Amino acid sequence: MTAPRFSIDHKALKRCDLFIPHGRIDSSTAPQLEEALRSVTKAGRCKIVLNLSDVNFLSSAALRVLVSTARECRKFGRGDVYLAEVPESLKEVFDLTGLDDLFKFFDTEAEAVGHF
Amino acid sequence: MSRNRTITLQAGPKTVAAALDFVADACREWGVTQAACFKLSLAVDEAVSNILRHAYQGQPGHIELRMGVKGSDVWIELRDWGPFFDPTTVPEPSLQAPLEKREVGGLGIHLMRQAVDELVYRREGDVNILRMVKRGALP
Repeated sequence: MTAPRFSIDHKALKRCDLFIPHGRIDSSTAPQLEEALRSVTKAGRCKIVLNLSDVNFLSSAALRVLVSTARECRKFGRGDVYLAEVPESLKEVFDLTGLDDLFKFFDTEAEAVGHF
Repeated sequence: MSRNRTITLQAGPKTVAAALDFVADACREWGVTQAACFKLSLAVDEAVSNILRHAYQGQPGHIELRMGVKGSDVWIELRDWGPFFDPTTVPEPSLQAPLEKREVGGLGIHLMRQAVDELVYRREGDVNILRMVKRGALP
């Protein structure tokens, strides 16, 4: 049996919700990311940190999920989506789409969590 | 070792994953650089998603994915039997808009254009053919 291409861990912290996705966020797995993020935003929790250190692929479908979630969270100043420990190859996808200026990036998960 | 391979994929929920696995396996076997493999995967994800959305729209159909090496370049050709659709003519999204106004559609095509060095569409009979080339993909 092969390892799943995508999985996601969620930790509800005091300050925010931390998500640690693993593997490939492509067009077929992005809906799983969306579902996970929506489970907290629907409950009114909009301070989200995504640790992307274990993600090896990110497509535009994943970017769409991040943009719509961040948009939802920033409405009425309820929160934001912070990105932590983003590998260089993934960072390039944000650069190529001009999204690098629209998200806050942190070198470590602790810094991102502490920023809320 | 042949540096040219083809896979036929049935349109469905697992098509993108199967296409990306195929690309990753070929990249590994041929020694394609990680950076080039990442970009080719980005382009294939977007191209296959487009075919599923525009050509087959949830209906049964198949996609042929061909991949090969020419010198230090890697090329990929995608064929589908859907209606005419030339993704190279889709307008560029605005990359300057603030997050609140950012169009989330169109990003995929933009990424596809950025990820590869050549993106060429042609229609042959009832077949859409999209060819992409990543130059210098082999060290």
